[in-house]
Amino acid sequence: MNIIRASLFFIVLLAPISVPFVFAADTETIHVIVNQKSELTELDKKQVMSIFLGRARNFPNGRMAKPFDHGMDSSIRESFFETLTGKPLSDIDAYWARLSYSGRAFPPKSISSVAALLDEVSKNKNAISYVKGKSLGELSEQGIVVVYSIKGHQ
Amino acid sequence: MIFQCFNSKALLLFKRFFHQIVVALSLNCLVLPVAYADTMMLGGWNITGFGTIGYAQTDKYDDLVLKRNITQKSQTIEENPWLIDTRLGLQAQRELSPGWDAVGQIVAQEKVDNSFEEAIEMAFVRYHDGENFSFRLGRMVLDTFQLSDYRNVGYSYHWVRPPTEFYGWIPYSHYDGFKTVYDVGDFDSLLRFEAFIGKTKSTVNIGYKDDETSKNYVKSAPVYGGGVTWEKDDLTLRAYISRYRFVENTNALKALLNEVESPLVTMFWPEAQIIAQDYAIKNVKVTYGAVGFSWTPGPWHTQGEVSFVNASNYGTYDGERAYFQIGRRFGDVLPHITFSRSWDNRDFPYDPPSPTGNSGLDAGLSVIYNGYLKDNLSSGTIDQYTVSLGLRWDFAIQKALKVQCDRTTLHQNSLGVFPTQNTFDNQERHFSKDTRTWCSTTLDWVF
Repeated sequence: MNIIRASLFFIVLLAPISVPFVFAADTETIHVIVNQKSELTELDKKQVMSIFLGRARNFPNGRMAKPFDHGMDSSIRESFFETLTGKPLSDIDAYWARLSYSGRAFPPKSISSVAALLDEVSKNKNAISYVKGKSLGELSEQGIVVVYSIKGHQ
Repeated sequence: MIFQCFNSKALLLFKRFFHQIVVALSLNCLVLPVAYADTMMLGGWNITGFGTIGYAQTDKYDDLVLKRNITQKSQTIEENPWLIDTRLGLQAQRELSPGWDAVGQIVAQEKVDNSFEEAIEMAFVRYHDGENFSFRLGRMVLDTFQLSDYRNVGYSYHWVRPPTEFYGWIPYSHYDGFKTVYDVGDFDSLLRFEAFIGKTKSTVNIGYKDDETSKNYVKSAPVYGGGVTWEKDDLTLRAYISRYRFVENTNALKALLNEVESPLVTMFWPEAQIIAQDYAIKNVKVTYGAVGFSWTPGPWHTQGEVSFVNASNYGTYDGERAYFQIGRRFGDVLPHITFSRSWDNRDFPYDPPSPTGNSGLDAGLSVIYNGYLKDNLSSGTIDQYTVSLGLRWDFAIQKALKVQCDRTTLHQNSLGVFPTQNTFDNQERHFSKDTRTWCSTTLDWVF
C-alpha cells in the first residue's frame, strides 16, 4: 500500500515536469500525415521522398498520392525538405523549376494555412502532407493518421 | 536627328521585345504578391512563372559578339547587352478531369522572330493513365539534350547560360506533335522511356549582317526521336537520339544555289553546282545524339554531357560537343567551374575555280568560292572551347543572383555562334585562332 502511495506521490510530483516534455517532443517532430481512408499505416523515408519529389504518383498500396505543401516561405517546409533530402530548399526549388517548366511534373499544391491544410487531408483520401506541433490524438480526431515522423527537428 | 534615331530604335525594340516583356511583367506583378502564399489559381488554372534580368559584355570586342544562341539577332544583342539573357516566362496548368491536364507557356525574350506564335513554348493536353503511360498532344519543348527543355529557366541551373558550345547552335526550342512517356520503377529508382514525333521551325541569325541572307528560316518535318532516363537517389543518367529532316533551304543557301545556276558559272565552273548540292539542306536528314548525367552527392553538384551531330552536309552544323561542370554548395553560395568543347573537323576539299582569262569572270567565280562556299562553312563551324567560372547566390527564397566569366578559345573561322562584325559582301570572313573573355550577371527567379 505504501508503495502504491509513494508511486502516486511521485507521479503527481513529476507530472507537471514530464507533461511539457511530452508536448515539447510533439512540437519538434514533423509528422507526415494521410487521410485515414487511404488505408496506409506506415511509409518509409524513400517513399515519402519519392512522393514529395514527384518521382512516384501512387502510394505503395497503389492508391493515387496527392501531396500538399506548406507556403513557400514557411520554416517547416525548409526543415522538412532539408531533413528528408539532405538538400537546401534552394536546390529543391531549382529541381522543381526543371520539372515544372519543362512540363514534366508539377510541385505539390501549396497551402499556407495549417488549418486549411489539415482540412484538405481530412477530406481527401489521396492527400498526403506534413505538420508540426500536432498530437496524434488531435490528428486522429480529424480522421488523419501519421505514417512517418521526423523526430526532434527544430 | 538624335531624337529621330532614338525614336526609331526604341520603336524597333518595342516591336521586337517589349510588348512581350510588358505582358509578362504585368502578369508577374499580379502574381508575385501571392507567390509565398497559396498556389496561384486563376479560374481553375495554376499560374506560375520565371524570369531573368541579365547583363553581359556583348559589346566588349570590336571583332566578335557574344551571343546566347543563334536565334538572337547579332546587332541587337551587341547594342543591348542586357537583352542576351533577359527573359520572362509565364505558365498555366490545369487539371481538366481525372487523368487529363493542359499546360501552356509563353516566354518573352530576344529572338529574330519575336512573333507571339513563336513565343509560345508549350500548349499541350496530356493524358496519364494513372500507372505508367502518359501521352501529350500539342506544342512541347524539345528535350533532345539534357537542358534543352528548361534552358529558358535560369533559376533551374547554376550557369548564367548553358554552355554555348553545347547549346548555342540549336535552332529549335519547341515542336508541334505527339509524345508518349512510359515510367517504370519503385520508390528506389525510376526508369523513363520517351518517344516523340512532330514538326518544328525557327528563324536564326547566323553572322552579323541584318539582311535577307543572314536571317534564315529553318523548318524540319518530320522530327522524331526517343530517349531513356534513369534516376536513383542523387544520380540521373540520360541518353537521347533524334532525327530531323529539313523541309527547305535557308535564305543563304538559296542565294548560293541561285548563283551557281547562272549560265556563265555553269559554263566555266561546272563543278560549282555539284559543290553547292553538298551545301543544300532541303530533304537532308540530320541525326542528333546525346548522353548525359547529373550527380549531386551532398553539397556537390556535377553534371556533364556529350553529343554528336551527324549531318554529312556543309550547309548545317556538324561535329561533337561535350561539357563537364562541378560545383560545391556552401550555404547559400555555390561556386562552380565548367569546361565545354565543340569540335568540327570538316575540311574544305574543293579546289578554287580555274582561271578563265577573263578578269571580271574570275572575280565573279572567286565571290562564289570565297564569299559563298567558304564563308557559309564558317557560319556552321563551332570549333572552340570555354572555361567558365561562376558563382550562384541564393539570397532569398526562389531568387538567385549569378555571376560568371567565360574564357573562350576560338579556332580558325569558328564563327558558328559568335559572329564577327567584319562582315563583307561577297567575301570570306576570317577569324584567326584567338582567346576572348566575357563576364555576365543575372538575377533569376521563379514564382
